[in-house]
Amino acid sequence: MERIDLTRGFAQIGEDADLRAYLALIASLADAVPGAMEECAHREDLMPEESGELRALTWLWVNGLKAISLKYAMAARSGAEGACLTIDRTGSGLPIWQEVVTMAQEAEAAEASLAEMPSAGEIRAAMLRQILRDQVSPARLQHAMSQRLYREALAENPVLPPKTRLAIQPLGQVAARRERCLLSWAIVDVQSNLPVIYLMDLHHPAGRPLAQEDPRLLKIRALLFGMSDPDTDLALIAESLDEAYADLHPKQLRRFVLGPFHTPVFTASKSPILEVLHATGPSAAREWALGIRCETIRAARETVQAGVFSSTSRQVYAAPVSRQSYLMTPLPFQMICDSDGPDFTGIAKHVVGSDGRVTTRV
Amino acid sequence: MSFETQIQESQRQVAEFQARVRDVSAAMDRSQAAATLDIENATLEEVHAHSATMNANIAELIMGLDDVTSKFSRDFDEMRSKTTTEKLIGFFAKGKSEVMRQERLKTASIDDKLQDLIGKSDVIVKLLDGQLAVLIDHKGRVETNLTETLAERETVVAELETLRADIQDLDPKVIEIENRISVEQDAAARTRLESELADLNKRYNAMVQDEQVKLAKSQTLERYIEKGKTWVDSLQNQAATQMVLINKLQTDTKQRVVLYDALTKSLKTAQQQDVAHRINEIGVKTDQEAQAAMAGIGSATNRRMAEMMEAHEGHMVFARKVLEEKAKADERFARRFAAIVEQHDKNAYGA
Repeated sequence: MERIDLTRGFAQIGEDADLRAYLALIASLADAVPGAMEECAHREDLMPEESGELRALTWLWVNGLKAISLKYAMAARSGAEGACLTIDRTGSGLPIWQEVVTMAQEAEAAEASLAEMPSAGEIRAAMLRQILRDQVSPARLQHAMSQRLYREALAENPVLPPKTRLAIQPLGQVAARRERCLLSWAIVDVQSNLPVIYLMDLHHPAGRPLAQEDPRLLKIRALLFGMSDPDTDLALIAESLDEAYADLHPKQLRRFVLGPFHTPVFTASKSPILEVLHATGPSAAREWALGIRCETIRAARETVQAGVFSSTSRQVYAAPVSRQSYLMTPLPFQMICDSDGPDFTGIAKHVVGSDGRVTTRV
Repeated sequence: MSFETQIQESQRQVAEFQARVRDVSAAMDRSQAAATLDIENATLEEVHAHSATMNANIAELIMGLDDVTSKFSRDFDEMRSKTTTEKLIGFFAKGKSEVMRQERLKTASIDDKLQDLIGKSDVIVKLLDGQLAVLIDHKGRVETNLTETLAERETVVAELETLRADIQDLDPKVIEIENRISVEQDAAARTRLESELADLNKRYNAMVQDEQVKLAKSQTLERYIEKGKTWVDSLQNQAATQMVLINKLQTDTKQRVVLYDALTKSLKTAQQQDVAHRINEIGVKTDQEAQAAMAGIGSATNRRMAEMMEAHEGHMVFARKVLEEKAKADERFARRFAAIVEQHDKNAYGA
């Protein structure tokens, strides 16, 4: 059998001009994502607690995008080997999972690394010496400075790890003997490199809330994270938890998949949105679009199976609702409006305005 | 030896090597080289020998990652096979046993191990990167020195040539005066000519002496340039070795991460055990290839490593070209290889 290489779509961006162009796109994406997710939260009619969790997890991802821009800002010009950013051209258009893991590990060690590095003032003084006395380009020192700023960003703003913790937020009483809580977690998928955010509305018997020290939590965590890749059937995740514990009732499960990130220069896949981006002509290199998928599954009703000593209630789930939308720069949106093609009717388009604000048109 | 101890040992060796490189480069420094040219061949050989040991150690470290990967195959084995309980239940109800296995697989995750693999690989890459930076830095400095020395040698050679021409110019004058002395009858005039000849001879001798000094200087500079060139070549070689190691390690890790994850996900969704088994074989084969390639690094000479790097780059260019041409098809195949293997089996067995 022919050897299968799953990394064929990966590309290392090593040329300075390419790297700068890509990081500029990533930076402009990072600025627009929080606004777009607010729009999604509004459209999906999330509870304030759900919106809060979605916002917090989105920001972790955004912080990561901003940090990676610093990490590679000077990588190509400093001549440091092995310091190229690897992205998934045919898939997500985003940095590969390994970049996410390395960044999370570097975030953990950020304080220690900062203590070992020369201060920003020292680096600046050394730069001056190189420029004025030696009269050479201080590219290496600029790289050192970018690394310092990168570590400072990591120490200041937490970034999205490959797997977050499983957060539990009590939501109060729903019935005489029932309470509810919000479970939230996020992962970055190894295959697709996309961030995936989950929100679960979970009902449980009153007075027996699920707490972080709950012995069941280890298994629940393994169960949920074990099925968290973006293609797992939402009903399967909810049902698995419903069946595993008689007194835990997943009433609703939401999933948000951020990506792929489409750019005419750095994405090699074929899709209608990418064709639109290509059609923007001379400015195509600056245009981009991010796919956003919101999926929800709700329990339509509860059945009670009477046993000999006790009865168990099981959820019956309605068909999942899935909404695709795109966050994009203004020009491709204009092209879509002008062409009036069938590809984007009914799909929400979150458009980044010139003031940076995101507005949604359907 | 544990991975951590091995890393520490390698870090120590790298530090020692860098100190030696610094010593040699310092000796290569123009100001000192002019006084004494004490970079003996033995010193260079010593550095070479040391770097060979160090690189072998790092290659071993890379191979040591196999300990990490072997933990994966244990995981895959567990996913593929049934536990004792499952087997026992399978004795009575085959379906129930398979359901149990699938329930168990739902919670299976190798993410933490993948993160560990990436972390360890990053540690080695950082070690190699630091080493590479030092080598490139020294190479640059030695080259700058060499350029200056070459210019200086050119000046000395030019001076030497002028001097030799001047010496040759003196010859006819000396012969002429000697001839005039031999025919001169007047004693006073003769004395004047003889003192003129003595002056000329003095000047001649001084110039010949100067020629010897300049010649010696030019030869010293030449020897220095030769040594410098050898040192630059050696640093260049070392840098190439580092790049091959870095490249190899990064490529392997990237491949492994995606492959092992794909394998886990396939095992989770695979309905039949033999399908799972066949998918697993793909992984084993890939890893064997990776291992064979890595074992090669340990014993390979710099030359072979350079060849490997060229071959690898050639492959990359080729892969990218293929990618551009039929990107979508490849992507579908790679991304959904689980589905394709399943489909392939269905066709092959007419199920």
